[in-house]
Order: sequence, then C-alpha cells, then structure tokens
Amino acid sequence: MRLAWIFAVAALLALLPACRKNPVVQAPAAPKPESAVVLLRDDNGHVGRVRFENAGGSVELTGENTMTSISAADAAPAVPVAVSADEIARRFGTALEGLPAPQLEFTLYFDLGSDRLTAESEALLANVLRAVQARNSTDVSIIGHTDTTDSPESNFALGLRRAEKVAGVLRSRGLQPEFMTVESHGEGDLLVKTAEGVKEPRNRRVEITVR
Amino acid sequence: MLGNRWGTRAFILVAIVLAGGMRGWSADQTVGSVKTLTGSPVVVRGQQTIPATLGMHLFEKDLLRTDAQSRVGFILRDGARVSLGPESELAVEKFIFEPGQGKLGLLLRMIRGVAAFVSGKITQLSPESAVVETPVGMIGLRGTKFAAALAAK
Repeated sequence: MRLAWIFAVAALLALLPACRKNPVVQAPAAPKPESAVVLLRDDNGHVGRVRFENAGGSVELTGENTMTSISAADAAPAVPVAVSADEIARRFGTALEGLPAPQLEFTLYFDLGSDRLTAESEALLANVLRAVQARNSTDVSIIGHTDTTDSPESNFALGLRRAEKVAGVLRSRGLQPEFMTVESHGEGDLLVKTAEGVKEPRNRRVEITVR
Repeated sequence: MLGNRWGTRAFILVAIVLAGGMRGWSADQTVGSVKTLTGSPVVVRGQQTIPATLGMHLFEKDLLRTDAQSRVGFILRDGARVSLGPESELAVEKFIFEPGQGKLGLLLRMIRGVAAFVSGKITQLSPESAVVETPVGMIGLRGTKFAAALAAK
C-alpha cells in the first residue's frame, strides 16, 4: 500500500515538468500577429490624436504610446492600450529610426515697395545655404509676400519679384535652379492681418522652406 | 541647305518648348523628396521601377517599396514626414497642398510592412483631409506622430 503511494507520487512528479512545459510550447501560437497603430509624442513634446476606422468600428488614440490592434478589415479595432517603449521599438523601431529631420523655415524681410532685402535678412541668406547643404536639400520653396500698400495685382508682381530676387542670390551662390520653386502669394497671406493700404514691414517678406 | 537650317531652328524651338514644359512639370508636380535611405529601396512610377536615391523628387502616385534589407524616408511639401521599415510598401495616392486656394488633401496608401508618420501642414490646416488607407482600415490623421505595422499575410 505504501509502495503504491510512492509510485503514485513519483509518477506525478515525473509528469509535472511536462505539464509546466506544455503551455510554454504552445505560447507562440496564441498571440497571432495583428496589425497595429500607435500614437507617439512628437519632437515638440506634443501628443496629437489619431482615429482608426474600418467596417467593424472605430477607435480614437489620444494618449501617448497608446496602441490599437486590428485583426481584420471587418473586425472592430481593439480598445487602445498603453504599450511600453520596448514594445514600440520592437514593432515600429525600424520605421521610426528612418524618419527624416523636419523641414527648416526662414523668413527674409524687405524694404517698402522694393525687392531690396533688409540688412539683417541679407545676412540670413548664409544660414539658408548652410541649411541646404547640411540637409542635402533638393527641394527649397521660395514664396514672396507683400503688405497691403499697393493693389493686389501689383503686390502679386512685387511678391514674385522678391521671391525671384532671393532665388537669384541663392542660385549665384551655388543652389541649383531645379531644386527651387518660386512663387508669389502677393498680399493674400498676411503674417500680420491689416486693412487695405497699411504699411507693415512684417508682411513684406519671403518665406523659404528647406526640406 | 535652307531646309536644313529651318530644321535646326525648328528642332531648337521644340527642344526649348519641351525643356520649358518639363521644367514646369517637374517643379509643379513634385510632392516631396527622399531624405533617408538604407539598402536599395525602389520607387514604382507607372510602369517603371526606379532605384530610390537621396534627394530624388517624388510625385503623386509614386509607390515606395523596401525589401528585407532596405528602409526609406521622405518629406512631403507640406512638411509631413514618412518612413518605411523593411519589407514595406506605401503609395502617395493624393497630395494637394495649395493653402492659398484652400485646396488641401493627402491620401497615403499603406500596402504592407511598417511605417512611421509625422503629419504636416495639411493635417494642421484641415485635419479631415489627411488619411492613411490600409488593408484593415483607415487612419485619420489629427496629428502628429504615429506609427503603423501591418500583419504579414
């Protein structure tokens, strides 16, 4: 009788490791890979908002590092959960690492009614060229603006003259023309909102975007 | 002799018109440029498959594709940034950025793989008009930084 008990206990002990092993072996089959969207904090420290929607329903991500999982186009997206930095790196890291640096913006100012740069702005052109080189930029936008001193038509022409003047200087200092787009917004995009016929130095500008 | 000269003139004229037209086309239609790159990603443009290069201009309908060893990142004209990890595919289906006319629209079609996004001015000015379409649903961009991974089929 005692021998029988010993055998029974021995048999149970022999089975135990197998019992413990079994769930571990099956584990990889359980979490089948799902699609996922995660919301992150941006370079400015801002956490935005993302909405995911399909035939099964919709969810909104609003918190930093919150993620929704989606199993199929007709299955509702899962309730968002917070995920760790490690999991974000593991699932999304290869893409996150390759994000390009943000574009750089410069504003140059002009004398009243002319395409002559102010002295301070003239000096800024060197920074623009440095930015183009540092970023190996092939896409630079140059947009001319005016204040409301003159008519919209002549302001459109003046804005274009200002933008072309800047483009000309950049070209003369080595920036390839095919990397530049030049346009005028005239008085249509005032930095400082004013009535018609107002002299406003801050509106007499060229905006340069280096991408 | 006379005919030859006229032929030369006509040829020069046609060349100038073509060059002018092409320059205008490329300047107006560029939607962004390639900024980061590892391995050998490609751009599928119509029937052509072109190796992606740093600084290469991108156009509407371009599809970017990476293999297991490649990655690629690009910046759009509104300042939005996108990057693809390995074995990924994404197309710029629609890009309209004319803030002066109030015309704004962005549709990216993510086909497979993993991608990271930072939204730009289109999303800022008109959140409803920026979308990333995926095989399992639509991502509406309200800003600013997010990432998506699609399950392998």
